[in-house]
Amino acid sequence: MTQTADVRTVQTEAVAEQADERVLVASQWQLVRWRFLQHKLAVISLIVLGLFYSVAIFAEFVAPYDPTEFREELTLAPPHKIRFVDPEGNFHLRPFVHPFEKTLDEVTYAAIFIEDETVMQPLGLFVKGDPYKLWGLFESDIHLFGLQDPDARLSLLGQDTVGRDLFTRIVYGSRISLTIGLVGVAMSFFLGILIGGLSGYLGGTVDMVIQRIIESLRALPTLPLWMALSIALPHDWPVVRTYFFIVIILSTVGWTSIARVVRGRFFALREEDFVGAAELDGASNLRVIFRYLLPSFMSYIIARLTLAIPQMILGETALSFIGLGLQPPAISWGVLLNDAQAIRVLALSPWLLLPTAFVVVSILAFNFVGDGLRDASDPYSHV
Amino acid sequence: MTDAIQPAGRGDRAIISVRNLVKYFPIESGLLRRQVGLVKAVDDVSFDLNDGETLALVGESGCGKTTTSHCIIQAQRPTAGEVHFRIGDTRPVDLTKMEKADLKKARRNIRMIYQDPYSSLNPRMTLLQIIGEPLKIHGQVKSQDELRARVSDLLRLVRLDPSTLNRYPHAFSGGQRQRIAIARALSLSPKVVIADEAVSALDVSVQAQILNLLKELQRELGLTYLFVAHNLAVVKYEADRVAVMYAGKIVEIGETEELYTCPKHPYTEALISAAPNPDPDTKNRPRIVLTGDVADPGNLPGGCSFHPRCRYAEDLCKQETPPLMELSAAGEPSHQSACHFADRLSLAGIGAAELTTDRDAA
Ligand SMILES: Nc1ncnc2c1ncn2[C@@H]1O[C@H](COP(=O)(O)OP(=O)(O)OP(=O)(O)O)[C@@H](O)[C@H]1O
Ligand SMILES: [Mg+2]
Repeated sequence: MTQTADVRTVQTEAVAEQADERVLVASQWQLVRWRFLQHKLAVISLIVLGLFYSVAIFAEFVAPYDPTEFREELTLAPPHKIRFVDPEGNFHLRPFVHPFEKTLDEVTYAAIFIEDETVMQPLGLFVKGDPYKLWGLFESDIHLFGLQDPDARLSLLGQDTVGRDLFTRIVYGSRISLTIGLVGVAMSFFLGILIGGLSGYLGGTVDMVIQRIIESLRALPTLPLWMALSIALPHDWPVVRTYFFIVIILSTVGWTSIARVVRGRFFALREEDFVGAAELDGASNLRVIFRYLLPSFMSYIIARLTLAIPQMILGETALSFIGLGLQPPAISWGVLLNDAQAIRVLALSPWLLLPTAFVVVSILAFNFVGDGLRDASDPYSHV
Repeated sequence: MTDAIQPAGRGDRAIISVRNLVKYFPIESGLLRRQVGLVKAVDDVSFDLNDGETLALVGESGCGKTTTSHCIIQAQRPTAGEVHFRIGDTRPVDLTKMEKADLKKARRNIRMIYQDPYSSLNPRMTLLQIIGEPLKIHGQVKSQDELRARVSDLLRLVRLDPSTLNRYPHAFSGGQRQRIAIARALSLSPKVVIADEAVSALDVSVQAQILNLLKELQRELGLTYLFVAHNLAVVKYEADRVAVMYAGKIVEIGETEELYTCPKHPYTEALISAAPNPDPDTKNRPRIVLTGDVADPGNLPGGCSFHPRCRYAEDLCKQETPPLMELSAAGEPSHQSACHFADRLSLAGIGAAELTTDRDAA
C-alpha cells in the first residue's frame, strides 16, 4: 500500500533520526539543564553559590562564635596562622594555633599581637562553644569548627575594631547580603511580570503610559536615587523594617528592565502562530497566558533575574558602606565594610576589607550562573 | 445584502459563503496615534466555498490572502461583510456576528493550518499535548488513555509513527512538523480546513508529499479546503477552483482548468506565465514580466488597482473600478473576472495538454 511507502519516506526525511531518543522526548527544562551543565564555569559558580547559601542558612552553626560577643583584649587582632608544625619541628596531624599575647608598641602605643609559642591550641570539628538557637528554634552549643578549648579564640580572619570575630560576622552578614538580592529580585520579578504583562497584553494607551513611566525611572541615575530614598528612612527603625524598605528601594529600578523584557516577549509571542493556533483551538485567555505565553519565556526571565541579583547585592553593600543602608546592630557585608572606612585602621588592619572578597566572589558567581542560564535558556534557538 | 446567502443560484452547495468581506487597518502615526490612512487589506471580497471542493486563493505577497482567511475563521474581526457557514441542511450562521462561546463551537468545524510549521507548534509541548489540546479543550476525551488512543490514530492518519507521541517538535523535520499541524487540525473532525501556504515553507520534494497527503485525506474524510498559495504552480494539482487576488480584491475566479487554459484577467495571465513550465513544447512561450511594484494596499491607485502594471490598460481602467462579472453562460460552470475588457482580450494560458500531463505527473 502507499501508506507503508509513505511512512518510509517520512522516516528518510527525518533530521533527528539518529539522535538519542532521550533528546527527542526531552522537555524544555531538561534541554536547559543539559546545556547549562556544559557551561563549566557556570556549574562551578552554582556550587560556590550553593555553599554560600548553606553557610547563610546555618550561620549559627558554621560561625565559631557569637557575632556580638567581643573581647576587648583582642581588638584588631590579626588572623591566626594555622599551623601543623610546632616550634620543635614536630609535625601534628591536627592543626593548631598559638594564642596571641598583646603588648604595646613603646613609641606609638599601638597594640602588637605576638604569638605565644609555648601554648598550642588545637582546632577541632563539632566543638563546644557559645550557645545559640538555630533559626530561633533549636538550642545548641555545637559549632562546625573552632578551638577545642571553649575559652580560647580562633582568629580565622582577624578581629574587628571592638574585638568581635570577623569571620563570624561575615558568616552572619551573608544572611542579609545574600538574601537582599533574592528578595529584591523576587519583588522586581513580581512587579515586572505584572506591569510588563499588562503593558504587553493590553497594549494601546496603557502600554504607552507604562512605557513612559519606565523610561523616566530608567533615566534617573541609580545610586543617587537610592541615596535620596534611603536618607528618608528613619534611623530608629527596627532592623527588619529597614531591611524591607531597602529592598523596596533597590527594586524601584530593577523591575523596569524585567517589565520591558516581559512586554517585549508578550508582543513577540502574540505574533507566533502557535499562540494564534491555541486561540483557534478554543483555549481561554488564561490558558493561553499560563500554558503558552509564560512557559515560553520563563527560563529567559530566570536568567535575567540571576543577572539582576549582583546589582542588588552591590546596591545594599554600597548603601550600607556609606552609612545610608542598614545600621548596626544589623550585620551585613556593607555594614562590616563601613567599619573599615578609617584609613588609619585600614593601613594597620587590612583584613577588615575581607568582606569585599566575599562580595566579589558572590557577584562573580551570580554573573557566571546567569550567563550560563541565559545561554541555556532558549534551547530552541540552536536545535 | 439579502441575496448574500444564495446568489445567482450557485450558493446551494456552499459550506462557507463570504459576502462583501472588508478588512481595513488604520495607519497610525505620531505620539497620539492619529489615524493618517487606511490599509485596505481586504476590500469587498465575495466567494463561495463548496462542500468537498478545494478552492485555491492565489496572489502575490501582501494581496490580503492571510487576512481573508483570518477574517473567515474570525481570528481577526472583519471591518464589514458576512461569512455564512452551513453544515448539511442546517440554517447558515453568520460567523462575523458570533460571540466567543458560539465561535468556539463553529471553529471545531473550520480549522487552520499555518505556513510555518516551526512557529505553529509550541516547542514546549509534546505531540500528545499539541494534538490532544483541541480534544481536551472541547471535552472530547474522558481519560488520558482515550487521549493517547485518539492522538495515536491521528498520527497514523497523517502517516507518522504513533510511538513518537512523547517527542517534542524539535525532534521532527519541517515536513513532519507540517504533518503534526495537519493532525492537530483534523483532531476535531472538521468539515473545512484552511491551509495558509501550508507547503511554501517546505523543500520542494517534501511539498509534493504534503500535497499528496492533503489530497488523500480529503478523499478519505470528505474535507473541504481553502488553499492559500502565492503562486499558481502549487495550486495546479490541488485545486478544483482558483480565486486570484490582487490588492485586496478577487480579480478572477473560476474552475482550475478553465482559468489556466483561458484566463480572463491580465493579472492571471501574468501569473500563469510566471509559473515554472516543465513542458518543452511550450517552454519558449513569451514570459510576461510584470513591471512596477505590487499595489500598496495603503495607497491604491484609482480605477482598476492593476492598471499601472497592466499591458492592456486604457483610459477607462484609470477611472473606473471594474466589478467582478460573470462570463460564462447560464448552466456552465461559473467563471468571473474583474476586468473591463475581459470578453474582448484574448489572453494566453497554458495548453490543456500541459495541464493534464502535469496532473498525471503529480
Ligand atoms: N495587523 C495589521 N496591521 C496593519 N496592516 C496589516 C496588518 N496585517 C496585514 N496588514 C497589511 O495588509 C496587507 C495584506 O496582508 P496579508 O498578510 O493578508 O497578505 P498576504 O496575501 O497573506 O501576503 P503573504 O503572501 O506575504 O502572506 C499587507 O499590505 C499587510 O501589510
Ligand atoms: Mg500570508
